[in-house]
Order: sequence, then structure tokens, then C-alpha cells
Amino acid sequence: MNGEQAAAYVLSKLEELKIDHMLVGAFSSNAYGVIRSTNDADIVVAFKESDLTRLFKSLGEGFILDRQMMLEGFTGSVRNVIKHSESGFDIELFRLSDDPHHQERFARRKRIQINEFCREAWIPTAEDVVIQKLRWARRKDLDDIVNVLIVSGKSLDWAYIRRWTDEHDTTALLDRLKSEAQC
Amino acid sequence: MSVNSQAEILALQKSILESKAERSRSVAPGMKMMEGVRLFDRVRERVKAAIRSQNSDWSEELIHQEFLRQLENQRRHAEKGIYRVVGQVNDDGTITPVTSEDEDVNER
Repeated sequence: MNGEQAAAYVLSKLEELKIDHMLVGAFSSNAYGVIRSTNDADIVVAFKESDLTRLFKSLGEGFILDRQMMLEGFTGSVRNVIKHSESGFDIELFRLSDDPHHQERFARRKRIQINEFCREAWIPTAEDVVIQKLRWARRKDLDDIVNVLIVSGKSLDWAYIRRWTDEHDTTALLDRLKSEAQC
Repeated sequence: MSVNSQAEILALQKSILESKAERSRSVAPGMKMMEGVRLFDRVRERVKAAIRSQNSDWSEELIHQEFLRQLENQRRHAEKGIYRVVGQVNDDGTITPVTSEDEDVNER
């Protein structure tokens, strides 16, 4: 199984187990922007108590659960990692947090068709990709934002974006990136 | 750098951006979404080919382990200072909290 098959397999298991989820990170910025390589699939999950082990057990051989649970410092999300040893690809599971933007982003998520598999997946809206990546603001996040703005900038709901960037104090950074993207 | 060459560079930059955007808009979002992991799959095979060429006596298993080691180092470097360990997942799905305030993912 390669990385692509591992990612698709985990998504199918989440659907099968009826665990609410949404693909974020590079998967979502690639959908709205310019493609870049990624060595992990970041998935936000609305986990109930036993869902992590239920999911892990359903995956079977070849997947390894990293038992360490980690807190991310930018937005306070808690992460678990499942490793796929054959491909080296990681599945990063972020528990849906109480953060107001995370809640709204999850509520606004969209169903999108993954053509090759005739399957569908949940992803955030393009606006929420921009808002979230502005909070992380690592160089690769800023590059992703510029690419989303270049490709999808004309169709974005700017009032919604500004409401959150004002809240997160990231409006100045957004304006700089808009200028970089010439949009 | 002359004013003319600066203007030429800016015009070229703009045209590259527009051409990138045009290509990306022409592909369906769902198709693009999986492309990032496909690129990773291709890169993995190239990295392993490079490891193989430097270590012709290594088994495929050893080459794969070396690839995983390099990838893990790269991930730790990229994540340094971002995450800290807050718990341990038990077999039954329950979580045992970790009390240390400053334990870092890089100490795994």
C-alpha cells in the first residue's frame, strides 16, 4: 500500500465507522491552491471517548499508533499520529477543539468528490483554510495562503475572512499576503 | 539592477503566477487534493533510489528503514517547539495524562 492508498483507506474507515471528520492541512490547501507534496494527512475528527482505538483496530496490520498525545501550541489542538510503515506516510488526527473558529470551520465543511476513487471527503471551505493557516503562519503556511489567494481569491467571502482575522489579529498579515498574491 | 530589468522581473513573476493559477483552476479540487500524497509517493521512491545507489550492498528492508529514519528526522525538525506531550493512549482508549510541562515531541 502506498501513501495515497493508505490515506484513502483511513478516510474510508472513518466513513465506515461514522466518525465525523474533515481533511485539513496540505490536502485542503492543495484543493483550493497550487499542489505541493505532503508526507502526512491532517484530519480533524469529532472523536468520542473510544473512537481512536476503534479506528486504529479497524485499520489492521501495517498501521502503527503513536501512543503519545500531543498538544499543538498555536491553536490548542490535541493530536494523535497513526503511522503507515510501508509508505512512511503519517495520518495526523486532530481532535475537534472548543476553539470558536474550529467549531465554525467544522460546521461549514464541504463534501467534495475525490475523482479517482469515486469517493467523497469532507474539507473546510477555502476561506477557513486561509483563516487557519494565518494562525499557524509558518513559511509553508504563508506559501499555501498565497497560492490559495492566487487561484481562488476572486471567489472568496472576504467579509467572513476579515471577521475572523480581526478576531485573531492576523489582518495585517493577510493584507501583506494579498499584496504578494496580487489579488 | 536597472529599473528596466526590475520591471521585467516583476512582469515575468506576474505572468508565472497567472499561468500557475490558470493551470490550477483547470483541475477539479478533488483531483488536486490527492496529488500532494502522490508527489510524496514519487519522492519516496527517488530518495530510496539515492540511498540504494550509495549503499549497493544494503537489503531493501535496510534501505526502507534508512528512508524512514531520514523522514522522521525531517519531521522532528519541522515540528520542533510546536507540540508537547500531554498524554498517553492506553489499549482501552483511555488517556493517561503526562504531567511534565515542557516535554517536547522531539524527545520521543
